[in-house]
Amino acid sequence: MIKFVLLVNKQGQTRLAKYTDSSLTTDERRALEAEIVRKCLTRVDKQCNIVEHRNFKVVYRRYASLFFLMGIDAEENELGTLEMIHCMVETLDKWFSNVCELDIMFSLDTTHHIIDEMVANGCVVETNKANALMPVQLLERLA
Amino acid sequence: MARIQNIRGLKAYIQDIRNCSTKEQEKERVDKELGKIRKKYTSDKAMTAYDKRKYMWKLLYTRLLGYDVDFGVKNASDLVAASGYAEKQVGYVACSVFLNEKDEFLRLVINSVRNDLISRNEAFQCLALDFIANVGGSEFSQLLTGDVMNVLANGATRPVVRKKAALCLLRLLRKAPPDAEIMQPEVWGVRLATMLEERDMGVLLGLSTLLLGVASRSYEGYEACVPRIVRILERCKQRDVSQDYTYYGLASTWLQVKCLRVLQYFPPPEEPAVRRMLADIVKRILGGSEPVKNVNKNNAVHAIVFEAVAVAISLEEPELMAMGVALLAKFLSVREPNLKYLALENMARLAEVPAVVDTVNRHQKTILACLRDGDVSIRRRALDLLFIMCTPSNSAEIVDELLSYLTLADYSMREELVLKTAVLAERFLPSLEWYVDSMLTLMERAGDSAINDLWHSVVQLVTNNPQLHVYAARRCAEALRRGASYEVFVKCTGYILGEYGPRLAAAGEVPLLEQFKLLQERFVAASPETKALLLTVYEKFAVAEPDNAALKVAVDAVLERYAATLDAELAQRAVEYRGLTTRRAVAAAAVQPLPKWEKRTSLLLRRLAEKEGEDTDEARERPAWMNLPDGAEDEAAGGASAPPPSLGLPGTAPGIATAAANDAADLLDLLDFSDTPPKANGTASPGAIASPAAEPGAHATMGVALAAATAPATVMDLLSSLGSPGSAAPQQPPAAAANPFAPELLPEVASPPVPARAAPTPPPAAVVRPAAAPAAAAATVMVAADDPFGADVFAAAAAGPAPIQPVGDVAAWFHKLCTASSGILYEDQYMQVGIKSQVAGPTVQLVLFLGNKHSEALQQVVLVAPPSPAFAFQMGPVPQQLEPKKQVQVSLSATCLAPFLATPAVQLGYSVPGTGQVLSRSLDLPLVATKFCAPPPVEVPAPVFAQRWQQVAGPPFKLTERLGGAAPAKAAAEALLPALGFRVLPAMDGGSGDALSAVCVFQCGGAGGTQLRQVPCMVKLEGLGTPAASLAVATADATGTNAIKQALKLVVT
Repeated sequence: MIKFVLLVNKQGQTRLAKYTDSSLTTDERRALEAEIVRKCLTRVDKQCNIVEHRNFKVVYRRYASLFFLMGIDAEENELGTLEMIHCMVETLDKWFSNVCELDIMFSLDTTHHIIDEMVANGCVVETNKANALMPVQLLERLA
Repeated sequence: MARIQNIRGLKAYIQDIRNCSTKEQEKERVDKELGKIRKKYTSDKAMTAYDKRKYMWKLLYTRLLGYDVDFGVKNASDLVAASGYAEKQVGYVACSVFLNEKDEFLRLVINSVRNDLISRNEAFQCLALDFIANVGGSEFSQLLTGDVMNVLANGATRPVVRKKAALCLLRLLRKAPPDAEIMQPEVWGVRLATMLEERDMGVLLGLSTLLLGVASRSYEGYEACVPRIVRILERCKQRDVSQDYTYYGLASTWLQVKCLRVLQYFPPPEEPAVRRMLADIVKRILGGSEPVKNVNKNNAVHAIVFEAVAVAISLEEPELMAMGVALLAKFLSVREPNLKYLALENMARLAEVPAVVDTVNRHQKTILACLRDGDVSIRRRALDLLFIMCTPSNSAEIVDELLSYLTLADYSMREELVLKTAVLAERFLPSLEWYVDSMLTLMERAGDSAINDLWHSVVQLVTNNPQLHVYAARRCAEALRRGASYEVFVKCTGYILGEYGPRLAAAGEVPLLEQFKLLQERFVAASPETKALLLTVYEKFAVAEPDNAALKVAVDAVLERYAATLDAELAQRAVEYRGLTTRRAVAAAAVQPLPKWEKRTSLLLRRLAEKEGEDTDEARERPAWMNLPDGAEDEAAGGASAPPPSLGLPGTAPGIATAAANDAADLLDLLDFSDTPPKANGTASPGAIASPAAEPGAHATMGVALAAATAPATVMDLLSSLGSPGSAAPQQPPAAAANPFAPELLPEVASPPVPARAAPTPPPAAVVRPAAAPAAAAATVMVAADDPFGADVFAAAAAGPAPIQPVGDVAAWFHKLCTASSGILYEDQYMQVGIKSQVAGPTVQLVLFLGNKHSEALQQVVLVAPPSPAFAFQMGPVPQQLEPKKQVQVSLSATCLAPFLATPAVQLGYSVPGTGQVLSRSLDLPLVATKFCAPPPVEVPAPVFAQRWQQVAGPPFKLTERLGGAAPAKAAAEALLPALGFRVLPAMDGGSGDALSAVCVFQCGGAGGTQLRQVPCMVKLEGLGTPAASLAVATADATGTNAIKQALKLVVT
């Protein structure tokens, strides 16, 4: 199960956060994010993409200045999750054409929508980029 | 592709926030925006759909920045019900961010959600399903499961919708009450199997996720799905999928991973054809695991490979197993860190499979090398695997390796490493000597990461194995010579030398004086707890070799120095040991070796279990899903490891030693009965039978005598009387000498430490056990900050279910508070309650400060003001739990409704989680009648006063009371009365210089439906400063007169 999806920039600022468990308070989330970010951002490329934190694992991947992190439990496949991140980035890339941090910041709504389309209830729903982009295209037609 | 829905206002807002250079600026900008949005929402003007979306996104963005947004939920739920897709979409996103499944507001949207779910618009259906899948709770589960199932089962629905319905159903299934059977296996087993015939990969992924969720609970009834899953895998291997679902040349990686995971939950397929097909698939996967250049493809391939390895092993076909295990071994030595990490992890996961065990053992060297990897994730995994793979045959090597690694290990995993090493040493110990050596090395190297449990374990094992005694002492002396001086290490060596050092010296190896010097080198830097232990050790040395003059001089020097130290515990020990050394016969009888320890469950294992799931370096408040249900286990473990009753205790030292230990237990127990009248010389007290629960305390005592005295008032008295009653029974850290291992084991060793330590001791419990001391051995108990075993244990052990006692004089505090506006109201060893009051007419605004002094949170904090006829209370919120070392304020407003006699009180309660102690106590509030007195608005001339005084009839309206010698001097009273709200009249009668008259108005009412009343009140104090002083009060209200008289008497005397 995917516990959360987190997009953080190099400075440690959260750009997007989605939690499967919505019972965390704002403060708890902030604390959790700070701890994880501290652990992940200090790692170098040679090290593996998996970090253990509390009783779950954080799988992370860096794209330029942006870190994508996913918290998973033992039921999830680590490498699968790692590639899920990449699949997500490719999908965003397809939509924004060369996605960057600013795209995600300023088109927060779209980003949320795309990610929601790919991960729901802590599970991977869609890995087909065209399908994942369908709702945003629908929105665009309406606008 | 283009950007959609350019919401300009939102962009501007984000831009503004980005331009803020400081957090304060940002906060200001956010507050401004929130204010604006709030205004928009509350104004009557209708908003356009565009505006609604814009403001909702702004709120969402603000929330994402980490600010609490406490409004907008209603607007979000309105948006969900809107008709347009764009609005609906924002509404759903907002609701899923703002609401959680327990939120009441969810009820607002549930109808709209259902309408969308059953609508014919697929886009709406998708939104609703997404929302349920992310937020749905048990209520959704009850109301919407049927609808979701219909969507899923309807073949005419498009795949986009059905895949979501599958995940949604999984959510509802998990959220349903445990007893509700939503998916009956007999129906859904077949239904799901049929659905798995589906062509669309998206739907298949959803369905396999659903099946995984179901099978992880119980696979029974779903066996029919297995062949279908295998066929899906076959399809993937044939690349029989659309281009859309191909990822770096692989047919939907995630679907393959999911399917292989599902298969791990089922037993191997029965049908030979299916089994063959599966074996074939797995073989192909394992065979095609060659690393490829492209990182993504490589990852995707190996994601599948690792799952396939697990399936291969579960299939139990030798050829596949061999392939799988070989692959894991290969990954272990690759450079790619992810593969290495996963190889370690999967090896640990599959460690019980014999084939894996062999391979793992063959690669022990590689795994050990991973301990020195540059990546902490890999080091952790390696440690974990080593811990799991340890067997009697390789344990010595692994533990040695871990010990040598300990010096290099980084701090984040040190504690875990130390604990695991110790557990392994304890679990497999090839020989007892090896165990002692390893543990000593461990403590030498672990430094401050070592925990007390380590040395407790060593001491237990050494004590119980007589053949180890001298050996352990020798090794301790050697280790001390090597120079380490960490607390835990010093405690361990000190304890062992104290017990067995004299025998080592007797064997001519290390003279006691040298042992003493070795310990003494570390004494100065040690903590008080360790010092206390070492003092006892020195005393044992001195008693063991009474004729060793040099030793005696050295020990005496230390004792003398510490007899005057500020630490009461150390001083007391030092003084008493000095007293003992002057009486050789007493000391020899009193200082005895400890008896054997009871068998109990391993402390280290318990500690490890506690630690599981908890990060070593940060274990802060964890959300529910990160918690392991460890609390319950703990309790169980605590209960299970309670030692059996003690009387059959196998004593090593014959006769007196055992008896002495038992005596200590008696004393412990007797603390409970401190109100038992002291027995004069030596009849056995009825309370002297040790309760089993008190017994561990006896073990913990170092076996030194309990100083005895019939009725000593102070420590000095105790010593002076030491000689006379004859021999002495064991002494030592009685109440506290808690069992090191489980504070909760000692619920009955109950005695508040303070009363026993305070100088005018309560009647000391007199104990004699005939076996122990034929003459007379009564004892006062020195309550000690628990010598061998830590002060925290002490606190726990000292109380148990017996009431938690206040420290300090509650009555004196109360008395002080009657005139002061702030001060301490109550204090015990866990909590302090301060109070601050402010009077405004008949109402007093109180603030109670609840401070937690304990190192753990106090639970179930209760503070209530029981209704009182004379008062109306209004109390602010009281937190349920009080964090350690934290203080909270509770406001309490009390309005006096009528004159009263009884002081109002509040009920305070809390429980101490570690010990299970519960406090429930009524605290008198310092609200005496004078608190509600105010000077009258107009001057009262003396003649008017005299006239009014005459007018008031006698009792009960006018009351006089003699104050006696306790009355203050006139000047003092003159100063005090205005502070109480009285106006002192200029002297009248002209004559007697020791009289005072004062007036005030007593105010009450004005709340709870009563009228504000002002009761004028006259007071005369006469004969001040003389034994004939008296107090007279006159009002028009009988109760009022009495109340003010009482209050004044309390205050002025």
